[in-house]
Amino acid sequence: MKVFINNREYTAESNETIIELCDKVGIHIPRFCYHKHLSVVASCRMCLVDIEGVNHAQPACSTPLRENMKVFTHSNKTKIAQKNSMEFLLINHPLDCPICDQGGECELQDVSLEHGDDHSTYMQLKRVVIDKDISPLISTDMTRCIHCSRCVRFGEEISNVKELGLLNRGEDMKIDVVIEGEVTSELSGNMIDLCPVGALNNKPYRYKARTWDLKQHAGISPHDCLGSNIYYHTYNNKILRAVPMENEQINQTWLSDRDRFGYEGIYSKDRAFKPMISQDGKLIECENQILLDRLNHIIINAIKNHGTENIGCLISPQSTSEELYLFQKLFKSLGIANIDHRTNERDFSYQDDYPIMPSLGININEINEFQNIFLIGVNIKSEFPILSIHLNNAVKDKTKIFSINFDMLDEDFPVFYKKIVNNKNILSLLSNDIEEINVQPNEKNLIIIGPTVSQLPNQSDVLSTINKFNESINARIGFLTDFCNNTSAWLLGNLPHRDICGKKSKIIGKNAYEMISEKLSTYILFNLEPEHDFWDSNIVESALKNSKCNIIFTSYITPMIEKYADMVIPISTFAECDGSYINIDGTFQSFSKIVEPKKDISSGWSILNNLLKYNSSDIYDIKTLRSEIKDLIKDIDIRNFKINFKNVKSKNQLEGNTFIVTRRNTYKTDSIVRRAESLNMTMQSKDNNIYISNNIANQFKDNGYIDFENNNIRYKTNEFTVKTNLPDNTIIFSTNNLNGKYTGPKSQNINIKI
Amino acid sequence: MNPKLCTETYNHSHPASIETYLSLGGYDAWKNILQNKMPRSKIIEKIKDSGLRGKGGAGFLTGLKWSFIPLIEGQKYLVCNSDESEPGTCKDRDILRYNPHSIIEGMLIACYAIGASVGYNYLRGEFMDQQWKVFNEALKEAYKFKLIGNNIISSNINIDIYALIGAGAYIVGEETAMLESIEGKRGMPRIKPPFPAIKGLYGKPTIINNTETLASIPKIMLNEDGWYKNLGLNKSEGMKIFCMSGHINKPGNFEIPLGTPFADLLKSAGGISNNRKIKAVIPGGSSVPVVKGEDMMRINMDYESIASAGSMLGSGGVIVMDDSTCMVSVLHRISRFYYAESCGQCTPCREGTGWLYKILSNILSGKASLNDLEQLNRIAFQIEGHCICALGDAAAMPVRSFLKNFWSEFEYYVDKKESMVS
Repeated sequence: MKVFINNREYTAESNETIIELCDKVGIHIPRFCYHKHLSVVASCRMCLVDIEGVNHAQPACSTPLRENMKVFTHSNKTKIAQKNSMEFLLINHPLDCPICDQGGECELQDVSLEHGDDHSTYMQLKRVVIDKDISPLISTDMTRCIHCSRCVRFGEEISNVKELGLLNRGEDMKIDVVIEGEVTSELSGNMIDLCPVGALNNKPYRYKARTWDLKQHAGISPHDCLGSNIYYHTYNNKILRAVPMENEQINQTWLSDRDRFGYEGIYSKDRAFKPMISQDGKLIECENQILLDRLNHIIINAIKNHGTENIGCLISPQSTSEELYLFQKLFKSLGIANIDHRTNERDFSYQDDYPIMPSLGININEINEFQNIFLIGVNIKSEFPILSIHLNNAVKDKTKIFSINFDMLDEDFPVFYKKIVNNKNILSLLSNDIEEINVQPNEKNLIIIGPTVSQLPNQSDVLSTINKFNESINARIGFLTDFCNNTSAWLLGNLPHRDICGKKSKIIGKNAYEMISEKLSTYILFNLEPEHDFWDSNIVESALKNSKCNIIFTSYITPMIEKYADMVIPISTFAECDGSYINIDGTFQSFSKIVEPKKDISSGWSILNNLLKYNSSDIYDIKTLRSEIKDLIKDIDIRNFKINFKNVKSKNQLEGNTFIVTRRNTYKTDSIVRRAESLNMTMQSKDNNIYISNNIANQFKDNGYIDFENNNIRYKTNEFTVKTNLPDNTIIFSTNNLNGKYTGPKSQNINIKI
Repeated sequence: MNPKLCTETYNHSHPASIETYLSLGGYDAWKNILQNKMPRSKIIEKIKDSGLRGKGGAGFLTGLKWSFIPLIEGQKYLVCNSDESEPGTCKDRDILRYNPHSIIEGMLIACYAIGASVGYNYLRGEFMDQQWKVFNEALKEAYKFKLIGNNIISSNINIDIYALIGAGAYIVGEETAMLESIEGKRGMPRIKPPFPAIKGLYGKPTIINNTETLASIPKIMLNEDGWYKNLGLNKSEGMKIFCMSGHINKPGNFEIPLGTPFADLLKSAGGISNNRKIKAVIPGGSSVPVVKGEDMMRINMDYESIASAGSMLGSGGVIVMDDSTCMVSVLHRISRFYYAESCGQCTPCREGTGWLYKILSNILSGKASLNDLEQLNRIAFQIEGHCICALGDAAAMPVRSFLKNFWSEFEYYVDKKESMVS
């Protein structure tokens, strides 16, 4: 279709609006309410343009182009109309730019400079709106609001959490919540970006810096396996805030609150700043220069004295691909086979049948092409908020979502079928009872296996049941993992049974659970917190207590590390080193150092690289290291993964009468977010409840107790919250309870007595 | 004696009862259509030919509007707009309470013509106490007489009508805002296109007609072609109810042929009270431009004549003002109404209506300068035509016309800080 903009001919698609075409060809049209990912409301009237043959200027955002339409974006009529809208927008807007955080990146400032007048004729009193405290993450100055309603539409259309709304009408109209502190969505921070003025601002960043002083650095999210693209903004070598970097494949223009505010964790007082060596039962700081020699010496001695089979090497899948690659390379070259990253797991019988690495099996943005999606053992809303946006779109495209989870948490998108299960009845549900759902094998079906499944003591049985269930629906099977880089951990061979790229190891080492339960003489922990990152922190404690030597590479000092470490090597977090992650759809994404680490903190990969020098001729720089890893992933196509768990069977006995599961609290998932101050003030973080099923609660007597038999723990019955929709004999702990009274396994079947 | 369409039952002892309506030939048109299985296109053609225009304010040809409905199968809706909120207008209020069956019959015929199986009558919240009750009672009677519902008079036609009550917002009288309100959302006008005839209530093709329009339809259908058209005088077509209010002796609703001289209408309404002189008339509800009294006395009450006097026939709410009226105060009061009723969606209307009101308040309290009068004009000009719906225009038009016609009075007020007439 032929159209003319400013007398130049362009070709427009049918139904294309003026603003869409102008954005495409680079003609600037000012706007406030229009956003390419939100519905068109045409209410700000800033994009009014002159159209030949039409009496009044028309909004470019809502006017579709017609054959031979002539639009003038800079004519006098356009200019006057836009100037008039600008005048109206400004009459009630406070002139407090000097104390407004939006100053310098404010759309209202920019547009008024270009399209506004240089003086005001409004002499009456301005509107004032009284603010409410809506969230620990968002600060409000609603007097500045220009009612573009982007934030409201974000809630209605993108996150599907309607928290901010329009109240009153006319000049008294305001954006508000009904109850204070009620903005609790895991995606709420996006409203800060969407707000074109300083009405909704970043609370933790408030008054910290002026935008024009900030430096922008690209980064990748270290908090979940989706790998959202982020810009970190720094001032004086400190990260002050994070904003989304547009990536249509993954996070579009959005960011989860965890990715936006998680960086605060790197400024925790728990950071390990100095290398430390244990002397007389106490950790003493030591000099960096002697560290590597000492470290190498200790490892060589441990091998000599106790044998390679007595050394356990455990690494967190939150580590970068470079670290994961060098970690296994270093220890495997020393002949150690006990290497694993699956510290949150208990049942490993499936491991030989696992694909080369976990993956979603599809690209993240392809998810709305599926007709039926089964979510097993995952709450997308809290664990993978960005995916929630994709699934919300999928549901709008008529996708049906089937949720089978161990927790009763709700999703933010409509769920067609929801079942709360425990680790026993999920087997019978998937084998027999689910026939009612009527899903056909010739439809496009997807099964997503979530992180909670991997923590089950009978994970293998669940996987083989899913496999069997899938025979009837012919779905693609994908995984969502508990850390950002489990993909690399698998691919690069941080496993007792596999080398790089899934090659079978010559010697099969011990898995993560065997390593800690069999009490080895030496433990090397990389980026792991004994208190949080293991399936059962009790067993870890006794293992570390009884071992001869514990070498801890860590960014944070925890009480257990302080107590049991023989050597602490401070390593940088994601923000202070170069690194890469492979996300769950197999995309290899690298990032550079954002800020300089403190003097004695080195990046994990450089320490491992230097250690490698003692024993091998292979020396890497980041470039060769990266290209080597890139080469490995090059030929891997996640779409070709054949997933077959037909013959796996769990070896663990499930004897207890009660199923206990720990919720993966969205802001407690890794060592960095656990320490992000602002996120810890959110409603999600404050959940201290222990949820219990109705049938157990029915047996409660006044002032009664529940005894956990094999853990010797006693709870008063009034410490529990009853949830009627939980399946029988189920107790759910929120992560906050871990290391309170309950320190047992993250998921187990135990006997309780009331 | 003029024929009566919407007001036929008004003088009977039980005007709203179905017996009264039936005794006056009510529902005959509806029964005729069903028994003769009249083709839909024929009804639309007849309404088109009758020249019936929308009585809500815009005066759009009703038959033409109906013909926009797509001929495809599927759910369609009819909405009757009884959210009569325009200041000065009170015609639908009386039709609803004195002749509800004419609305029901009109809605049934309209539903049949456009292929809708459901019709909604949306009443303004203030109608809760009387009109709402009367209309619902009438609906019950119609159901009892099996003139509505399933398989009406064994014709296989199913039509249901529901009455809804608003919550008192003026803006919901705008047709797309009404659709939003029926859907349970905030009453805010939608962007057009798509027009309701293509994508209306719940995304389905929808026709929205004014109460008086629908109430006129049974009589048009009952009479021969050309009957309604010829009711008008002086080249005008059809009838219209005018709601006479202000400084007159006999305020009320007057159903007269279009084209009747204003002087005659004023005479029917008892003339100006207290033998004063006519000063100004707002001929079509508060949102249309004001006309000077002497100009008004020269013209006829029809679309074209009123347009030639620089105003609009609008909803037919005629507000007559005598020479004791302070035009500044009147405009201030009108502006306050639009300031309070702006939905807040579009910037010019949300911010501009408040600004207009504040300046007019300043004039009244003696704090304004002559610049402010220019300012008023400019703001009104900036609002006009730049909003999604017509409320912005409705707020702007009175301001511009009052200033144009009574500039000296405003100037006097600003200068002397008191009204010219008091």
